[in-house]
Amino acid sequence: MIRIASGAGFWGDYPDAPTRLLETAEFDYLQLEYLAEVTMGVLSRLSNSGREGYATDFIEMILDEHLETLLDRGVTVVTNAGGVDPETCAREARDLANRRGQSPLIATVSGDDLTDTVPTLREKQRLAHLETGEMLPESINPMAAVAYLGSDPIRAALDRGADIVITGRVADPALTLGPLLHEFNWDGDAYDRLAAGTVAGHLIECGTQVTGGNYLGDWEALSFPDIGYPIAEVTADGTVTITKPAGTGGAVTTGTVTEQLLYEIGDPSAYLTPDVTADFSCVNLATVSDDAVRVTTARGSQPPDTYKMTIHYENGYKLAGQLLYSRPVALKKARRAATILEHRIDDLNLTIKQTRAEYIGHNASHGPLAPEETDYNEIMLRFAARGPSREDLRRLGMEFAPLSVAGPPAVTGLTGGGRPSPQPVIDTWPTTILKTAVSSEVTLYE
Amino acid sequence: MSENSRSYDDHCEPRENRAKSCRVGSIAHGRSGDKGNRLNIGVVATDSHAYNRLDRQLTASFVANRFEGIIDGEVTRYRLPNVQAFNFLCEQALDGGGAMSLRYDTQGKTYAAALMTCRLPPWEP
Repeated sequence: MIRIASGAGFWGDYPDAPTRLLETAEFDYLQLEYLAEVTMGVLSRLSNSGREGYATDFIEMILDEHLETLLDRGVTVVTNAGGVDPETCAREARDLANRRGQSPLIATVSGDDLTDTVPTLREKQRLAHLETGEMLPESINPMAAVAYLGSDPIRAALDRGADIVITGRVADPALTLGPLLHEFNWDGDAYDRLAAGTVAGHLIECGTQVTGGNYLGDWEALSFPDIGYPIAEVTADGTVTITKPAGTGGAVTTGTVTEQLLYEIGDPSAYLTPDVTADFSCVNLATVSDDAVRVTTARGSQPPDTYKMTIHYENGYKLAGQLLYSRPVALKKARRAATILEHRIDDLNLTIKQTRAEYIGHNASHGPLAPEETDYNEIMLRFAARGPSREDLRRLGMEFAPLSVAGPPAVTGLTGGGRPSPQPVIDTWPTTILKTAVSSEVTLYE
Repeated sequence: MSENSRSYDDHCEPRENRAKSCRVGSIAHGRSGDKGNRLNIGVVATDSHAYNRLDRQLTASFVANRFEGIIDGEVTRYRLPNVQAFNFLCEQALDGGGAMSLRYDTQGKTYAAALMTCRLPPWEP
C-alpha cells in the first residue's frame, strides 16, 4: 500500500500544512499543488519582468523547514512548484540542500512550455477554443502557451531515483498517478487502475476541500483550526482509501468525498487527462472506519490523443473600488453612488468596455438570486470596470474618493486604501495540442 | 438533517412532509467551481428519496431559469446515481472567466449555496 499526502492544495494554502502532516502521520509521498488555471500567465509575466517564475513558497517555506525530515523519513516530494521555470526552482532547491550538507536527487519535468509553437499552430488553424470552438483571433498576442502533461514523465523521474520531482504544468491528478505508476508498475493501458489513481489524485489535489473544508453539508460540527490534510492510501489493485491523520480536525465522510469528487468537473463519465479517460459516475464510496472512505470501481478507457493547452494573453485592464454606506436606506445610497460613477464615466468620455456595480451585504455573491431585504445596516458598494486603456481606468480610480464629500451621505472607509489602480487582465484561451507535437523531458540535478 | 439546512427559514422535514415544497438545501448539499468561463455545480442528495425527488425536479432547465442573469449559456445535467449526486455544467456562466470577470465571486464559488436556497415545488412521487 502506498500513502500519498497532499500538503498544499493551492498557492496560498497554510504554509505549516506539511508540518502538521509530518507530525501526525506516516506517508510515502508528499504532493504539493501550486498552479491554478490562471497562475502560469501570472508567473510568465513575472518571469518576463525578471522575477521568479516558480512557487518560491516551496523553497522558502517547505524545503527550508523540512528537507532533513523528508529525507530522513524517506518521503518523496512531487510538486508542480516549477511553474514556468522548473530549472531555476530545481537549482535553488539543490543549492539549499548543498548548503546544508544534503544531496537529494532532484528531477525536473519540462516540455510543457509550447509558447514557441503558437505561430505555426496558428497558421494551421489548430487553436480552436475548447468551450466555444472559435479560432484564436489575430488580435490576440500570446505571452505563454502551456500544455498539461501527464504522469509518464513523473514516473520516469521516480524510476531514475528522484527524491524530489519538480514539474511545470501537469494535469493535477498526475502528481498522484505518477508515484502510483512508479510503485505499482501499472501498464499504460491498465485503464481502470489509471482511472482509480486519477480519482485519488482528483480527490486530494485541493487539500482540505476533501476533509471537511468548504463543506456545504453538516459543517457546523467540524473543527477547522486543526483540520487534517488528506492522505490517499492506494493498493496495487487500484483500491483507494481517502483518510486524514488521527486526532486532526475536519472529517472524511462519503459526503465530503462526494462534494470533492464533483468539484470542477464536466461530464463525470469522461474526465479527461493525458493518461486516461476516467469515469467518475460508476465510482462507489463506502465508509470503512472513522474518517476513512474507500473509493472503488472507477472505470477508465483510452485517453485523448491531445493534451489540453492554455494560451495566456493580456486582455486590457480592470479595476474595482469600494465605498461603505450605513443605514438608513444604505442600499439606496450605494445605488445612487453607482449611478454617479456611470454618469462621470460618460462626462469624462472614458473608454470603458464593461462596468459592474455589486452591493456587498446584498448581492455580491448571489447576484439576481439574492432577495432584497427591506433595509440593511450597511452596504459596501463595489464598482468594477474593465477596458483597453490603462490611463482611462486610472482616471476612473480617481472618482471614488470625491464621493465621500460630493455624493450621498453616511459614507466611510476611504482612509488608508488609496485610489484603486488598474490591473492587467491576463486572460486564458483553452485549447488542445496533439501529443505527437510535444516532448516531455526529465532532467536530474545532483 | 444538517445544521445549515435547518437555518433556511422554511425548510421541510424530509420524512413527515416529503411532498411539501422545500428548499434544495434541505435535501441536498453541494459545491461549485470554475473551468474557464464554465461553472459547475455539484449537488449531493442526502438520501435515496431526496435523489429521486431531485432527479425529477432539479432539472437542467430549473437551474437555467433560476440562474438567469448569471448563466448565459446552456446547462447540462449529469447523473451520478452510485453516489446519489448530480453535476450541472453551465456554459458562459462566469462573466468571461476568472481573470476577466468583474464579479466579486469570479469563480462561482458561492453558486452551489445559491442553488441550495432555491425552492422546489410540491412533489407527488
